[in-house]
Amino acid sequence: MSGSLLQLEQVEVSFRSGKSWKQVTYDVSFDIAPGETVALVGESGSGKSVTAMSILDLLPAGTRRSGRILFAGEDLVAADESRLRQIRGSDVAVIFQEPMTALNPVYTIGDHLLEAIRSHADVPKEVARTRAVELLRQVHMPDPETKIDHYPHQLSGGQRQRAMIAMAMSCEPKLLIADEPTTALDVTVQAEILDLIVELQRRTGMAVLIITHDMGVVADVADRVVVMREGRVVESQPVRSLFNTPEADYTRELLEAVPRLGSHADVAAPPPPGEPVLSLQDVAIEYAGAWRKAGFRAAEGIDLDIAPGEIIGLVGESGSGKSTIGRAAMGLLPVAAGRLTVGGRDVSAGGRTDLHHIRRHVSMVFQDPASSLNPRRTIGQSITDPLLWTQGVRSRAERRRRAAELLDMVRLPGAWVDRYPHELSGGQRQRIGIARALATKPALMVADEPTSALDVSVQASVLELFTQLQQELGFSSLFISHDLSVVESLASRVVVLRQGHIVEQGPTLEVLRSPREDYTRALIAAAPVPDPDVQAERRARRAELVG
Amino acid sequence: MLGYILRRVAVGIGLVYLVLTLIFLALHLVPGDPALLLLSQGDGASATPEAVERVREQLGLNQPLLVQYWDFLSGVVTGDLGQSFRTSQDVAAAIGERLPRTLELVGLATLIAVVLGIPWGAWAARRGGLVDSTTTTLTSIGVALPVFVFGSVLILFFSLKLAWLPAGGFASMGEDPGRHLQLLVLPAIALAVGFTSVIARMTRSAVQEMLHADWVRTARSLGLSRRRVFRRYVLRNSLNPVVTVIGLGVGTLLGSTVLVERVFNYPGLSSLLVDAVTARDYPVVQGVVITIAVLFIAINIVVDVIYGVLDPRVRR
Repeated sequence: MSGSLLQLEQVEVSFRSGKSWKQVTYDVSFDIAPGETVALVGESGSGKSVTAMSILDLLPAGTRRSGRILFAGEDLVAADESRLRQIRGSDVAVIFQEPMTALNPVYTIGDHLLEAIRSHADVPKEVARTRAVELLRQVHMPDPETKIDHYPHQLSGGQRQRAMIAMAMSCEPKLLIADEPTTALDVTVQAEILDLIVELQRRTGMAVLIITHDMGVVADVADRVVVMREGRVVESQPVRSLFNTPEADYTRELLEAVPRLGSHADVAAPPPPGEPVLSLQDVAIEYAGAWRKAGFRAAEGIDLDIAPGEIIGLVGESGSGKSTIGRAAMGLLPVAAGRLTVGGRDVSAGGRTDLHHIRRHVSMVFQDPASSLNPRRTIGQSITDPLLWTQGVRSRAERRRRAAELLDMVRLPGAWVDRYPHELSGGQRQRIGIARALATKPALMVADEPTSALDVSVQASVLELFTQLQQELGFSSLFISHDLSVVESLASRVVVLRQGHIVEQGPTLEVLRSPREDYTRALIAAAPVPDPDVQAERRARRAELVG
Repeated sequence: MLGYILRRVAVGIGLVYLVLTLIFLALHLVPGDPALLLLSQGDGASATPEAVERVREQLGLNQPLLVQYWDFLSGVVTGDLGQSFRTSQDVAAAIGERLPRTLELVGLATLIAVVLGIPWGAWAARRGGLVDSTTTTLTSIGVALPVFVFGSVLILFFSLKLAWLPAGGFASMGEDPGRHLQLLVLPAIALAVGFTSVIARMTRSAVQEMLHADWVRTARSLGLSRRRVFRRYVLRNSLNPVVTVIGLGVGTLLGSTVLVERVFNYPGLSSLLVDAVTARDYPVVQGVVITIAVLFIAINIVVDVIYGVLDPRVRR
């Protein structure tokens, strides 16, 4: 295509490993027209980020690029470092996933912006500062004159990403590369940031290459989609036809694995009433403050009952207190006020025997399976440690036998008891996490974002396993998630949290289909749906509202 | 920031008070008569009653404990640290004479260590390969090498063989500035070897870590030059742990220059301390320990403040 702004031709990237080279992407070709938005999607390890970073050679040292990357007709693979430097930040700008670590903590937002502005234009500091405030205003940073002197840690995640975008916009780039720009953000903030990118694009006519794993985001902003898997381009299509008639099997599987809000007509039936397994009455939870300072009250006035065999979805954005409640239910945080009852026993005091009681009845699955398993213990040991601690099962042979049984329950070969976590994939590790939580045959399982760190296809299979086990074994669960569609797929009741308070709770269908509270409505509206038509409609409606 | 500094200073003053109390109690909580204890020579021979009485008088041991405590504290605050048993010299004056020499020595050693150590470590981390592995080996040797060995080697080459610098001794700045500085060079180098190695190692590992920080990629994406990226986004961020190590190192050097002072026959604070310990000259020992403790705390306050300047997240 002659009209393209950026054209990748058979781009291949290799990393050096020891003396040899390990190729990570193969024959990647696609192009971007001026003003167009192309989404590069794929699961972890697909090579999408590597491909995007190879455009400006922002890869770590010890990386080799081959093929041709034509930007406005100029080959960036052949270009030398000084030419690349001229293009970086001026013609092509980049924003990154984690705005906290992508900004240098020792410099203010203003320092960063000045650096961006003055790297390509020789302007005096005062002029650059005026321009920096102007840029912050353009990205709708609240109170830009003050925020310019703030350090990254003093801003919220969304504000940090706005600052990052302001830096990227400083030289009015022709192409913006956005590497998972909203992955680390809450859904409502994600929606705002995506709106901002679309708005800036309309105004400046820049092209956008957005790298994402989220099909909802793709449907929302992309004109065209390039799907990658294991270092290769699987298919490349305009967004509508990709969602309607995917060509590759992989794309079809990927789209099917995405949980969709509102697609579950038959939500789990509420279980027969019985004495609640877990009951919170007007509970408040505090994090202790520093010496002679007041603690931080992370949750307050929480009323919540979980019946035997019931799955309750606890949803909310970061800082809403959902993990705090999960930890308190596990006895990991003390209850500052109110009554916490586990299996009919009041454990609010959190004494030694209370904790022992909790640990016999409640277990927990953590978010990140990689860091929640001890890398130096075999998975067999990790799974059966709870048996040793809470039930005093001392016999090694007995524990080994139980470990094999548990592995079998989570559909992993029983012979794997002697393997170590690093030999397993992310999804397998999370199965281990679930097996460990099953070891004590708990009445209640607290699952804290158990699938957030997993790819969608893996997430689907882990959720399926979770549901099957729950039906077989009949445990109750407090399922914590930021993803409404995941919660919809398995919970019979939903509790919506915001800033440590319960906003709304009720049967899943009622809350998610006809929410009573504005906040719940906003949360549902912000969650991107993997359907371009629905997203276009929503965007149009939002634009109307804004005026 | 000002509040942060004031808080650090307040904590420092509290610490000094704590240290003073501990030092005071150290003498008085030992079982038995402190005067006897101080006078006993370890050979079983007991001191004469007159001598014991004299020591009691001198240390005020015949007064109630609280009075002694108050006298001790007010003495320290007003700079009165008592008199030496041996020479009857005023302890504060003796320290006042020795302290600047040691500070000079430690200061020069620190300067050498910082000026060499930081660039060396940064270079090793950036270049990698042979430079890096050589650095690791050399700094291991540098850390392990005893100062008296290295100091003797220095004397052997630069004083005895080459005769470039004097082998040891001391000349005051006022009388003979040239010789004063000449005499300072070798001991400072001997002292700086280990310190340089520690700083270089710390810088190396900090820089290596920072090279992979996300913000380095951000800086590159802005089109900044490699040099600017390294200076402002790698080295600048690597300094925090290095400053901590420098602070600790200076504090440690203050109390441990004795070997160097012995090798180079340099009359500093450490030699005063060691001589006093050997001679059981209690007031001098106490005075020197207090001085070193106060300096150590002061250095830590300075390090904390620098830390606050370097890292905005610490200022709270």
